[in-house]
Amino acid sequence: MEDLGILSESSKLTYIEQELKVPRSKIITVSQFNDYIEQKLTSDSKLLNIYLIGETSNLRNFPSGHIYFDLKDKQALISCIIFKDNKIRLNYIPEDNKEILVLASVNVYKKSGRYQLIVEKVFPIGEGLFYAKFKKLKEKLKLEGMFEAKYKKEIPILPRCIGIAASTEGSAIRDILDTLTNRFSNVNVFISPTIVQGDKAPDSIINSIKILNKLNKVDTIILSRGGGSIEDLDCFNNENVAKAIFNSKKPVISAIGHEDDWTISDFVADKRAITPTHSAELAIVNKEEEINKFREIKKQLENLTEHYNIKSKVNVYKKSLIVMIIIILLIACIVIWRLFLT
Amino acid sequence: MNKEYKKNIDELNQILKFLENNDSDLDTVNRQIERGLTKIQTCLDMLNESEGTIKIVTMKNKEFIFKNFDK
Repeated sequence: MEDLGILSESSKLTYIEQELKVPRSKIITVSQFNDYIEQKLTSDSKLLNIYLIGETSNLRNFPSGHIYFDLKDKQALISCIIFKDNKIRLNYIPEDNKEILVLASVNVYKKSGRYQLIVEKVFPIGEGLFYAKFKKLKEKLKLEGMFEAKYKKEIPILPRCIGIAASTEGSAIRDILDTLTNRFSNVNVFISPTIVQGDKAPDSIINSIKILNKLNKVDTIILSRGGGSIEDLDCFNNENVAKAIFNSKKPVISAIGHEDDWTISDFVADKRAITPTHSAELAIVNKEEEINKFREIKKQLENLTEHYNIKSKVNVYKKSLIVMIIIILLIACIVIWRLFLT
Repeated sequence: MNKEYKKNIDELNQILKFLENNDSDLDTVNRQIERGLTKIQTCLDMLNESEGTIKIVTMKNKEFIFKNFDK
């Protein structure tokens, strides 16, 4: 294909018309296309002043004063904006992970070709579905005693093998493996590929925990995934997953999301890591540090050997000196006794 | 392995404590030092015991399937 970049606009259109046989009237630019879409969407009365119910997610308060968030249900999501001027008039300012009703109109952001909702009014419906579910399950499992310290298993400092239940794609597994191998170059690891998001995730997590429990060599299990919204992490707020962790014979380290992301799995696990990297630090000792520690103790023992050898020699000298003194005294006595006799 | 490793470290610490405050004869002392050095060697051997393998594990028909993990 020829490079048309150096041609003027009219030359390009002439080229397209003549060489590619596309009529000039049929050619439009991206801006014209987005203008057309905007005109279509904003002129449709069905898309003006609509009431939508959904759950807020990824809510961001920008320094400009505008609020950006996603409104979602289980299957779909739409971007929303509350402009600063409108925000002042609102009776209720939405928070993240809350179920709300909005009055909004569709608008097209032409720069990126995205359609979005311009929110006029917000009505609170109650706590966000996911958050409410999380709180309810947390209370239930707490009452059942599943978070109690007495059930927490000790994490071995030198496991024969570490089992990881995580996705084999993404950054979490890489962070864990990098940290593990940096700390302990000859660490043994079994990875059970796990779906960590969506409807299939709970069964996949439970299955991975079961597989890793069946492997005799595995001494510790790390359950991990990278950061995400409360919806993304929802599979870790599942009662069956919590029970699988609680019933695991091998200790489980939960490393879900970032430091601020608390899930039910974190509460029920034997140890909570604040990040996937941190889980690797909890799972095994640092080999180099251990070797240095033993070098230090060996040096201490060698110093003690020297110390006791010197001490022993001094004792021998002391004993010899006493014997010599006794002999001298004896000789002196004999000499005196002889002199006395003569 | 973990239990044995921890036990060795505990015993090593006990040996050090014993040697720090003790009036035993040289033979006893030497025996304890020798024991300490053996414990250190055992721990070092344990640190080098694992092979450093990273494998993917799945199950099919109640059988484990192992595959090498390509980092």
